[in-house]
Amino acid sequence: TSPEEFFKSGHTNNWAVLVDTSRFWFNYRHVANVLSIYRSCKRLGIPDSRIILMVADDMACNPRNPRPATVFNNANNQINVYGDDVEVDYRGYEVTVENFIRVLTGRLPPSTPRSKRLLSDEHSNVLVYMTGHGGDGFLKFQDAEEISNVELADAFEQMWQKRRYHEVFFMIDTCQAESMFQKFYSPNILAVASSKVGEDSLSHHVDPSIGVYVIDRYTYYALEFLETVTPGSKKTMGQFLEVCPKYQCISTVAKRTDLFRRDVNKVLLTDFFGSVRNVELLPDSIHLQNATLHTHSEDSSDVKSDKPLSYAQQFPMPV
Amino acid sequence: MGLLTDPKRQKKIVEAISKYNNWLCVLCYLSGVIGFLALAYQPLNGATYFSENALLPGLVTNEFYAEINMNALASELKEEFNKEKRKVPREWIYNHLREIGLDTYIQNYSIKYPLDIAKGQNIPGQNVYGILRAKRSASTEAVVLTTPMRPKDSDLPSTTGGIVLMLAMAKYFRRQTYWSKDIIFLVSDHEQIGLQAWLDGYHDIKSEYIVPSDVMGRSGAIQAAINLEIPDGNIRYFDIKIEGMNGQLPNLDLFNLVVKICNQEGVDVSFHRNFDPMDAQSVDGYVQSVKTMLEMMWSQAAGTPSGNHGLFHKYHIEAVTLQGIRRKNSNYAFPLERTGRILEGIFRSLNNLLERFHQSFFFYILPGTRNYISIGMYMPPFAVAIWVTLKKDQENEDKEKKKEKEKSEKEGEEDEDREGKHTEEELEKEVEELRKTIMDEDVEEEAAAEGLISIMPVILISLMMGVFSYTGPDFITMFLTTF
Repeated sequence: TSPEEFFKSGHTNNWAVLVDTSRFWFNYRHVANVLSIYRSCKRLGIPDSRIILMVADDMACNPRNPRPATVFNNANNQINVYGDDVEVDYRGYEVTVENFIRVLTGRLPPSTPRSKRLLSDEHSNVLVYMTGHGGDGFLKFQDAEEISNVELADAFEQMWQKRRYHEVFFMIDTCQAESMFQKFYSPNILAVASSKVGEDSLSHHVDPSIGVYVIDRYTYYALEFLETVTPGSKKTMGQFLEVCPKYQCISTVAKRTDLFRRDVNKVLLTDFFGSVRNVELLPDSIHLQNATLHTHSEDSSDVKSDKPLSYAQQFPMPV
Repeated sequence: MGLLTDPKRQKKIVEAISKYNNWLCVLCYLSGVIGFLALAYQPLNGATYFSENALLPGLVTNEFYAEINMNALASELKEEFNKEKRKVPREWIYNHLREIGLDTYIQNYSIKYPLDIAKGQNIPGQNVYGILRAKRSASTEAVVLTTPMRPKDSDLPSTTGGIVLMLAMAKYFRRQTYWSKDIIFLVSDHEQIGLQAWLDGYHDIKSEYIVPSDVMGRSGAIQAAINLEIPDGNIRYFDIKIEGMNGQLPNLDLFNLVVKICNQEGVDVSFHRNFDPMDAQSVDGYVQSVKTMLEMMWSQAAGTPSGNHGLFHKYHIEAVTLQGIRRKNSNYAFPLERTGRILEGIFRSLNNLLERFHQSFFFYILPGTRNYISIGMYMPPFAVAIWVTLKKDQENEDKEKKKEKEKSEKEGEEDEDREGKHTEEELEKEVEELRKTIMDEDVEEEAAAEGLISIMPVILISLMMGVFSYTGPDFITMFLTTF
């Protein structure tokens, strides 16, 4: 295969922004949702340094938790999705609409540490997952404020204009989730939502030993699908968009593919959920031109220039 | 213009109402009363539901089991009660609570009976209470489990089962790590006076008649309280009592919570000793619902709380009483452990609360345990029935005003006769004054007619507008589906 065919997707790095917007003990399932997706992303290869995890409340150390320091997403299998290797970047009251939009657009104060920044460039594929309580045109943050679908669409447009993404996969699991991606107008965004406008997304099951609903339906079936995916898997985004039909999810899963340039049936799932390094062993050799010989001889005359050398601005910081 | 502003038309309506006044009054009163009673019919009222999302009632499996032999403990306690028929075994309870490991305290208080009932003596009393501290959260909130101590010679049924159950629950609860609020186990004496003394001491309120000493051990704000009146032995069913002082009621969510957990554990629960009818839409079912509704209203009208729980409502603490009813030789009786599981379920739900109960209704009437009549539903028929008194009052006012006018006219004529020999100027003045008085009388007449009756059209029309706005959207969406 030629080098052009090697990089079919056009992206060189993967980022994930995973947001849980609800607090309080009875919203345990939202934290379990986002932590489960976090685990899947990590398993498929996206490292913590490339994941921004925003969790609005601490369920593991909530006094009502009969299993302290754990968060479970399944009553039977008892997978603890909150272990000692979970890195939460925005915790508790730091999960606000302002912080979320600043993370997406990169307009953070200079003192923000790198672990809290989305340092993506024009070759990054970004996975954005949001869960919580939503309504027609908004998503509730922390029981105190809301982000509207217009704000979210503008944030993605800012990202596009600043060349902060190559492609975005937007996943949202809330009530009336479809309304959140209806206003998107930037190119290269693929979106899926757990319910249409006017429908409620439902939770899946209760853990009777803890006394809360532990996972939502759409995320449960999405995780079921993701569990079959390995880093080398050839499963496509088209298959992922068909996950959770109406008889399983009860709400209708809605998707948006018109802004996405490629055919979803040819896009690999690992383009968004994993960080895959393509390795291909070639039996024959490839002749590469020795391009450096010419430039070296040209530069030798300019070595003794008076121009002082300086470092280039790699990531232009706001003033 | 229209009905609202045209005084002539208003007068016509007012006259029409005045003409048939008596008939209208009778009709209104009867329809109000019948409408009120009709609300107990099941299709007309609503089924209960949970408004507080945080409660998550009944989601967790209850795992209470008694680690101590409750029957042995109950017989031991009965012996203690038998030792002195007039006294209550406070030290016994104190020692047991201490042994379990709670922060236990005794609160002293004295009662000064008014009207010299006790001949000037202050009656002393003591409450025993233990606080189970929540290990993983600050003691900012608490829930209370309380039961009254009744000496052997009291004419009220004994509560030894409740005391023993509280000790067993304290021991079980102490081993759990999931408490976010402190739990206060309170055993009070002198029935409601003791509990009032404890509440006054807890909230630092001074009173002339009940003088509590300072409450030494304290927790945070109390969110809810459950009062137990459970005799020993096997219980056939529970009766829930909710009426508080002056007819104040706890939040409907708490009542629904207790009913749901009881149903979950398979225990029958009654309200005013009436179970929910098998078929609520039959005549028998309706009669039973009306009976329950009227019994609740009767109990509220009495003004005294139906149990110790009623004293909590004044402090904005939601509380209910669970009274266990025994039936000898009953096959369906269940042991005390099942009550323990019910209490565990209730307390696990209360544990999930983040705020005080505020989502559900505070004013309601219950025709059973599964249905409710909210204030929005029972006020309209009640207002229609009461309108009679306003109408009759207005009529009486009109009659009085007419009598006064006649009197003042007579007096005016007498004055004129006396001052008949005045000059023409004064006569003219008098004529002018008479004219003015006549004009004023006209205005007075209109003003009198414009009393309450004149705003009746406005009220009627705004009520009709309200009904149309409420039912209109449904109607419109039904008929104009292709919008």
